[in-house]
Amino acid sequence: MKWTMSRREAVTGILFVLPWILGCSLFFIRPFFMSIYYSLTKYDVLGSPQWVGMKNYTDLLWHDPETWKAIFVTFKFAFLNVPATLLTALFFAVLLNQKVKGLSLWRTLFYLPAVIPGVASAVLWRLMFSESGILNKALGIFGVAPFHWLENEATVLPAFVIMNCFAAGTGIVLYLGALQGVPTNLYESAEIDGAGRFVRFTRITLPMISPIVLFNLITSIIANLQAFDQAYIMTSNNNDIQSWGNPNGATYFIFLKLYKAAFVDFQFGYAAAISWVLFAIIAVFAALIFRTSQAWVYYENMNAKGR
Amino acid sequence: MAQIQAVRAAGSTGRKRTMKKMLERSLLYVIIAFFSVIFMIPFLWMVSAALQSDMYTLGGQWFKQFLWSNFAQAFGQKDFKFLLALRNSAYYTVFATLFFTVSSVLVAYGFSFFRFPFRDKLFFFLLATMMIPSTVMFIPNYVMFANWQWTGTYLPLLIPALGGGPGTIFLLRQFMLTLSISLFESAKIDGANSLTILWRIVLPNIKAPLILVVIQQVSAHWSDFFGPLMYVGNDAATRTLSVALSTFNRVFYVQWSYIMCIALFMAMPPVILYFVSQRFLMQDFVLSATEK
Repeated sequence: MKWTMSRREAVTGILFVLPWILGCSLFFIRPFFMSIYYSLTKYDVLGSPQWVGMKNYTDLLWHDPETWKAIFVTFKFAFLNVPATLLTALFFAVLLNQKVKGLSLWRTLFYLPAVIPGVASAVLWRLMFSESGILNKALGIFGVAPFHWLENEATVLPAFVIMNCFAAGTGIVLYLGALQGVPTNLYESAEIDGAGRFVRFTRITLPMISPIVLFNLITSIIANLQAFDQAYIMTSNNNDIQSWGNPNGATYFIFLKLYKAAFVDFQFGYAAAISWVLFAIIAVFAALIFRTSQAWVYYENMNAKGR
Repeated sequence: MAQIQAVRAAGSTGRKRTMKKMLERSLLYVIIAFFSVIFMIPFLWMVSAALQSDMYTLGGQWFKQFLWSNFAQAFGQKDFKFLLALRNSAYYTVFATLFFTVSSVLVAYGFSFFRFPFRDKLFFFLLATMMIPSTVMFIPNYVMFANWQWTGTYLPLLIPALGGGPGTIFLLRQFMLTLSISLFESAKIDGANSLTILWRIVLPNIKAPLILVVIQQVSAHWSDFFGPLMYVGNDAATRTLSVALSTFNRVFYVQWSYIMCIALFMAMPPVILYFVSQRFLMQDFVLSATEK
């Protein structure tokens, strides 16, 4: 009797998780292996894939003049954007955590820009970064001559970063939640021991929220190495292939190259090879950060258990 | 005499202290207010650019006119086909959210309350899939959908949603596991079937995270650009608002006021959802999520 009960339970359970099993095999496991295969072939979708071995990879890494520039540009963007958005979010979260009155109002004001859909905000900022845009107007006060931020090789990536800092609201809310979870008695006893504000911040606040910082750091590095939308909408004219990643390739990110290889040149094998190179880069960065995180991330539960 | 002086001295340092504190507090409010205004400038600029003629916007001026008719004209543009794009966006948002949420709930329920062989190994695998960025999947997936002749339709975006998402399944399972198993067992003894228990007992107890998931999904699909661009494409009859907008900000006769009207319209649903959901989204949820 008991045996039949548990057998029925098992069947019901498997039926409930079946959608995920099917979805995962069809749209995750299968493409994962197919992607390896495609990357070793020449494939334009119309015909069948032709085996070329490692040619796509050697072409990509040694013969394609665009590759290293694209990797360099992507790194440059990630190195500017990840710290800038992280620090912006942390700064405003700490500011709002000072027991201010009307917290929900302030939080709303800081959070709202982050809920504007990416495309809407991209077209908005394309206007704001133009020669007659508001940014040039603000700089004009200090006597800076107006210029088009997105058409200037030196300012286009900083422009993207500025735009992303305005959307830091999600991070602000995340950090604010973490900050409010720090037990206040820690601060009180530190204050009695004579710890100043700076010491309290570096010795209590930062360690206590470091797991959330780690989480946010990893997800934003992964997202930034795959940057696409901004470059596609703001600096690539899809009627003019030559203009992609303008100005002068300064926003020609790896993912833009991947998209172009697949959907403009119809080289799906080559595009798959690019996706694996990008994957390897992401994996290296994620592993590096996990490795170093043991030194700077503090897990309270582990210490409490005396491990 | 000395005593009185000491008391007086203490009083004045105390006053100095409160003075200093008050000064600090007001400085804090000034800084917060200043930056919150800065943060709102892009949004206000969008509103202003939507409501005036481009002449003022491109001249760097704002709120010179309030031409509400801009909206009607923007929505009525012939080649933009606003109503079609709106219908497509709404269709994609509603069905993708529905499919994704329902199956995530079912899968999370299966992982939480039923014992079956390899359950924990499967769940561990589910968590592992979260670590792998989808970059390498998307070329083979595209090829498969192209071979099935699904490109140009919404099927490549809707059918995979039926598999649920690992992050959401994990989140819902965490909340389901906090429910007491005795409730579940006693309902089972009373002869209720699994779906009734899910509907009557489990779902009412995980309302807050469920609402959060729905809101996240609605915002994500409404704003989604890459998926519709890649699978559905830029055909005037089938494209979403986001794809249409990205195309139209490039045409040579670009009318910024119209573009901004549509951008503003696109921004509204997430903003409204934010206000509706604020209490779910903020206090309870973020706190409990970070504690876990």
